[in-house]
Amino acid sequence: MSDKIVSLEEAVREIQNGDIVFIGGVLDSRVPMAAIYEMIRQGKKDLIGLSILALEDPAVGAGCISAFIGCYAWLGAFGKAPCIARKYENGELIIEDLGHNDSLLIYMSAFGLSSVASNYSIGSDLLNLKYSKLDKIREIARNKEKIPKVKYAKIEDPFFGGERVLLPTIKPDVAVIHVQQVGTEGTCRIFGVEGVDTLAAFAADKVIVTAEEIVPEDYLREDPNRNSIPCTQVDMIVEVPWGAHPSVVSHYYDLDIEFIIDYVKRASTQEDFEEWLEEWVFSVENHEGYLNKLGIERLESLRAVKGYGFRPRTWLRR
Amino acid sequence: MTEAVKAEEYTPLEAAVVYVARELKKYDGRSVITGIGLPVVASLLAKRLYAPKLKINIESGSFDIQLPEIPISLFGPRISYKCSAQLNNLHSLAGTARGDYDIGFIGGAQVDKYGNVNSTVIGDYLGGHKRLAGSGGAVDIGCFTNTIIIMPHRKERIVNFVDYITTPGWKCRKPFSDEIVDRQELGLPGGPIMIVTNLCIMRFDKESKEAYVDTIFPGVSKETIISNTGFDIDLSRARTGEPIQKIEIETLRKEVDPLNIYRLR
Repeated sequence: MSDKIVSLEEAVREIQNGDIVFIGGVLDSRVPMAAIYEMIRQGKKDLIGLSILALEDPAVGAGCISAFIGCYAWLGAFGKAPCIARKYENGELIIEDLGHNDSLLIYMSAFGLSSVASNYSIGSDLLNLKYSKLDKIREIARNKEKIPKVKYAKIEDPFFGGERVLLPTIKPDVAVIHVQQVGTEGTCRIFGVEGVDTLAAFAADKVIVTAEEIVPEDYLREDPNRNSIPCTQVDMIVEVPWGAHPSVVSHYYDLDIEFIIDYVKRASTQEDFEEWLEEWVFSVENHEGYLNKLGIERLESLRAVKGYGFRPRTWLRR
Repeated sequence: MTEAVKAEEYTPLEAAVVYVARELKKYDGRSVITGIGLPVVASLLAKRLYAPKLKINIESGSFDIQLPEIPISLFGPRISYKCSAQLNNLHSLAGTARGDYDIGFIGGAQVDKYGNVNSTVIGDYLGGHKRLAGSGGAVDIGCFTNTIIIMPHRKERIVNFVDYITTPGWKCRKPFSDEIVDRQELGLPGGPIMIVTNLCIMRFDKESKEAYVDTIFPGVSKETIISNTGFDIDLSRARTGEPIQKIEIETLRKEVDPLNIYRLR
């Protein structure tokens, strides 16, 4: 058995205050929630989030994430993210706005590139440097040299003529990614929407993978084209079944809509949010406690149906 | 088959969806890039009635999606279910720059008469403001693609000029400056072709690049549009839309969104 396999607590200890953290999955899909709850238990501070900030909302409310460089900070169909909105309003969350492609092209650091020419924000105020907050974000970053000096730069294109916009890339200190299957050596298989987890895993200095299940490496290596992240990029492996609840995990379980609606309601004031945190994060002590509290009936009601990858809304409904 | 329904028998949102679906008729066999909500419902309705070969793509790296049921998550398994290929987000969203999509959909909190869309902040970014969701893929779509903008028709949302240009319309921001310039000057292809609200469809004048009312939904008065629009809106070209047909409402309610996930009714 590989020595990469560790406990959730050990893995999350690797994240340091002020780290630039890539949190995998997208919005409400395959978000490493168990790891996020553990970051809260360990009292992480001044983390800098990237690309999309959504179900990470409790980590913002608990003061773990205090800056964000990305394109979207909202809960999709569930509306305003309560803690993100409140912390931003209080000046406790700094946001640097990007478009979606640019918020992903920053991971071109994976290929050793320090910048890329990107035209994805032309005509937008995203290219108006007076709104940039990078200087403030640098203040809280542990590795200050990783935060670019300016948001964008204008250059003459010596190859094809005209003006181009240069976007600096960013190298995350750590990536935390939840996948469906990981091999004992770290090979990852993702089902459904990938986001840019593969790219980010190559860009980050350190990669923590939490998985629905740890499977034999050979099982995944029978069909290597289906694998998303090679074992060479993965530093730590944690088996965390239901580890992305309440987000959706393709082929494993569906979105827990009621849980999210209840969260949004209860997190609308800091006081009520802290009560929610006590109930769902601190008092349960660990992920097993969280699952016990959810209960087998609730979890089973979310389980994906084979052949669909999700649970059709009318499935087995009488 | 043609049997008109009276305006009181459907909701304004259902009307908006039907008119967008009709618009997509001319894109049969072509590709659209869309997001969750009304656009996905309209695209599905179009596929059933008017554009069976429409290719629907999502910024989640999902190509030619099938949508076995209306999704809540833009990045969940209902999106990737039996799509042609499930790659990463960049693969699909960079398709805007490749010119892969004939139409893109965007929403937001404000649209102005030039079709600029704001989904970042309401108010003064450097002073008092209220934060919104952010661009998501809107800027990436709106920079390169012809877009249909979907917006509730209210005075504070259909405005003279947006507080912050998230997605450029016809008169937008010169990069690295505060200056407003014509879209063409920036060499951007695409551009907004219509704004669809719960009251009407607006299009853009070829010369002035300003929005005018093109189609008023049946049962809506000009006064309602004027009093809910944040600028002096041109209604001189407005005509009442073709009545909504029974088959359109029935397909929408029985086949496309039977569980009323997006609360259109």
